[in-house]
Amino acid sequence: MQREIQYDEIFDAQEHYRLLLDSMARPGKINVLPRLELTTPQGIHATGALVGFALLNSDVSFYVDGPSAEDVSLYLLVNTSARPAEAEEADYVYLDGTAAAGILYQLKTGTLPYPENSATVIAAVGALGETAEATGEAAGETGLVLTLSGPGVDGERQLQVAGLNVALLEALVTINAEFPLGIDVVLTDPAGRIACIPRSSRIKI
Amino acid sequence: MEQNDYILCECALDTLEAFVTELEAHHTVQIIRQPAVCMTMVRAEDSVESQPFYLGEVLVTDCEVQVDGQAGYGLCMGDEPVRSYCMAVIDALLSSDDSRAGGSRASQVRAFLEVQAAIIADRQRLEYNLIQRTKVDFKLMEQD
Amino acid sequence: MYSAQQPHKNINTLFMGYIAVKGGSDAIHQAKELVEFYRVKEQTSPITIEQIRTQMRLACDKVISEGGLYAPEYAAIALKQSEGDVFEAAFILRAFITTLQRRYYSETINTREMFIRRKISASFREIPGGQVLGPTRDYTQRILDTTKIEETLEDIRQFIMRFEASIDAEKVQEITSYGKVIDLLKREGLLRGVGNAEDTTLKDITREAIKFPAPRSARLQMMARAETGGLMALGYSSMRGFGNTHPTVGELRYGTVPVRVKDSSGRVRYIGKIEVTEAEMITTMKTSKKNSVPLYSIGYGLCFGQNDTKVICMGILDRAMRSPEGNAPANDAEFVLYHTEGIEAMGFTNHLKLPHYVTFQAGLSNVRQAVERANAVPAKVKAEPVEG
Repeated sequence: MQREIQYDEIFDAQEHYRLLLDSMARPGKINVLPRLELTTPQGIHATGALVGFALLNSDVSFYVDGPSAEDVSLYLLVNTSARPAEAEEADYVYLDGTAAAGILYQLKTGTLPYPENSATVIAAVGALGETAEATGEAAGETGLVLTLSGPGVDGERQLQVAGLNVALLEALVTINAEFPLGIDVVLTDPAGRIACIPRSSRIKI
Repeated sequence: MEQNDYILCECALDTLEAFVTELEAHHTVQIIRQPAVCMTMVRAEDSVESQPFYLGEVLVTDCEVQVDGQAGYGLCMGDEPVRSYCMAVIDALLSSDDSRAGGSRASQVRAFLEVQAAIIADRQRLEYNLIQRTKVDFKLMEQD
Repeated sequence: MYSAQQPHKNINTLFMGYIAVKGGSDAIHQAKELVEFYRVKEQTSPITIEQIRTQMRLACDKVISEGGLYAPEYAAIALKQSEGDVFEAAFILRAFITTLQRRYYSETINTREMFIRRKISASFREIPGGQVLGPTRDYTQRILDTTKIEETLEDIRQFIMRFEASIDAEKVQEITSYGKVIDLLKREGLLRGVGNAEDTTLKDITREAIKFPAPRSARLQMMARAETGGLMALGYSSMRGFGNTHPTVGELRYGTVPVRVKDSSGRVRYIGKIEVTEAEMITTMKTSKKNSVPLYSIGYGLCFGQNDTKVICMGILDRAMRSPEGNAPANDAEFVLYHTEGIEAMGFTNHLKLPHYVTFQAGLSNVRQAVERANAVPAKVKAEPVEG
């Protein structure tokens, strides 16, 4: 299991965290994580790993969904010291954009006095883009067009996502109707792009 | 094992550094994780009901190396990059097959540790005896 | 909290709940420079960090204890930076903690393993290992020592040489550790736990904010990093009758204890030793049942560094907060814990200095209108004159 010694726990983490913050503060805004040589196992690409390195540490827990869960969990554990946990308890949840919607309903959505005790989903999608052409080229299909509005969005913003199960999105909308309870989502694609959908955003598909 | 850690944490830094610098020349040392400061949360408990509680953080430096492919971990209190690096190197050397087989490198390290242990023990004994002089002799009082 | 570190040129900057303030960035920058000016304008030789760490040991102990980070060298830097302001220095260490990762948790430290520097009991004359006064100023006359003005490094060297040489080589002892006084009481069956059904879960108030009623682990943790003066005031209040806890020192110890940690390979490692002071305060337990045997219970105190006052008061307050009569401030956990949290208390009291212009203007406007209305009222129904 690869220990990523090239990763700088201070400067890389800080740079990636700032980009995540920017995307979370401006829902749908795409940021690109700088290319870093990582040797990730099957089931997680570099972008997803880098998001994990920026967010995970020994104080939080995570759950990996999908067939390569064991390898990916070990990789994250070895590189971040974060605790593997069950889906119901996990602070961070890795899943594939094509996963069935059911998984979302198992995750923590917080409580009214402590809404932040909820899960953050890191979903690997085929491609992210601002325009259909960009996404289409990357993923070989145009995928979904999400129109986001709400806090952090000036009017509306379009986000094109390829390789995302629409049922997952619908489940997300249902769950986040209970705002401030809810789930926040980080979308990642193999080209290093990230975009976020916090629970406060309204999504039109 | 603990005794070794104790000696390496308490011995004089310049002596330790000189010893490890000499050892480095004969081995391939790769730094897996640079010495870096982080914290350890100290756990305590009350002495009567054994109620556990957190006392506070202590600053520590940790370091991971590989010596000839053998992993070694150094962990010590304080902002001590040199000490934790030296501890990691020695940890690797003592964990290696060479060490288990009673090799000469291991014997060299153990000899060093023994010398340092005696110096530390002398220092402790001196401090202990200085402190013991403040022990109250109540019998003297009663003689008044 | 507003921090005057960077000049704020952006007029849209908003500070948590207060109004956006414009201007003043130059003044702020100059104030920071002026602080530095006042720190060094006498142009005396810069004090070294090592000098502070070694010769202002007890100030460093306070800073590490109240900052909640055992790092005496960094405490020394903070003290130098803050010109000796212990509150400010503890604040600096607390802020520094937020930049560090907590990678490890230690094994539970065992104060029965302590290398004793000081060990006394006010309750029992004969205790295991005897009464060892240790390095204490308790018995000094507090006479100002003007010889400190002329002290040279050579004086120090001479003193050390003489002091260490005065050990009688014939009487050198091997190091032993000693059992605790309270263990004796326990064995005799004289000790009893406080008795109330208590929440014994282990909380970490650095990871989740304290909620009341707080479990004992949270109370001990908060007191361990509480401000000494605050604890002292409340501990004293309890003794003076604003409360019912008037205990004796069962045992007070100061010394070093080993710290062990499980490293990344899963092995438990010795990583060094920390100085701690510990107190077990013995109090009698009031029982309402007639003819029942009065038993003793213990209030416990433990903190980083050498600090008798802090642990004695921790012990008093530990016991007081478990007491059924909740009227006195010392018995009220929320009162004790919130108000002795030094960084929080200093921050909040000092926040009053921040601009409250709009708030105050609004208030002033109301007061003026009220005065106008009062003056406009006909003579026979005139309100009481408003106090100047």
